[in-house]
Amino acid sequence: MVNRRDEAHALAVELVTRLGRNLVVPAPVIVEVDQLARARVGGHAARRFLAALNTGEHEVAYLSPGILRRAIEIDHRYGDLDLGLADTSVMALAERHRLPILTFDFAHFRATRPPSGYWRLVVDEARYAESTGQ
Amino acid sequence: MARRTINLPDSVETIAREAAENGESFSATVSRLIVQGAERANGLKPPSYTAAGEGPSDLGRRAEHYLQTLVSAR
Repeated sequence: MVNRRDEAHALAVELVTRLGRNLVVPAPVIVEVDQLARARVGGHAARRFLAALNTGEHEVAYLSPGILRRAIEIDHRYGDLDLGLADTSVMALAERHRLPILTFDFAHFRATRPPSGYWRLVVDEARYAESTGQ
Repeated sequence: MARRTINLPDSVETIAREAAENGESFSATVSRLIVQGAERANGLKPPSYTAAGEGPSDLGRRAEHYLQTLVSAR
């Protein structure tokens, strides 16, 4: 979203604009986006993202002890994938609240699953490929 | 400025108070949120941070790789 040169920029803008405040951003994801944006796009872009969260453009999800515990469990269960807390916090929240997941990290979210069925992804690989030409 | 008395459910009041900016009155916050809501209802507006900068074209697709590079550099 912050990176105008990203091959999936148009797709991300379309999806995130439509979701608006319905987009739930777990706190660990904020840290990850902040670090990635500062390192690869610029501090200004990272600060714009943080300011948007501050004014309620998306909903921030702070991890409850139960969600944190579940995120850690998922990370342990799939230790060989080295998922990390950002991904597993998304999974734990999606599992608890039965939410669809907006991600372009198909490898991690296809290699794992909730207790029953599969993660519901907002965008699948075919839509991503169609939009980006990948 | 017209004065209007309205009743807000507790949950809505909480949202307004949480969205208040530094030094902003409650009325100003509610007005701002109504304007933002109307803008969104009339035509969706991209988030304010959209296209804030330029980075690698594969940043989204290879985010894990870039994050690992960051960790390795520490």
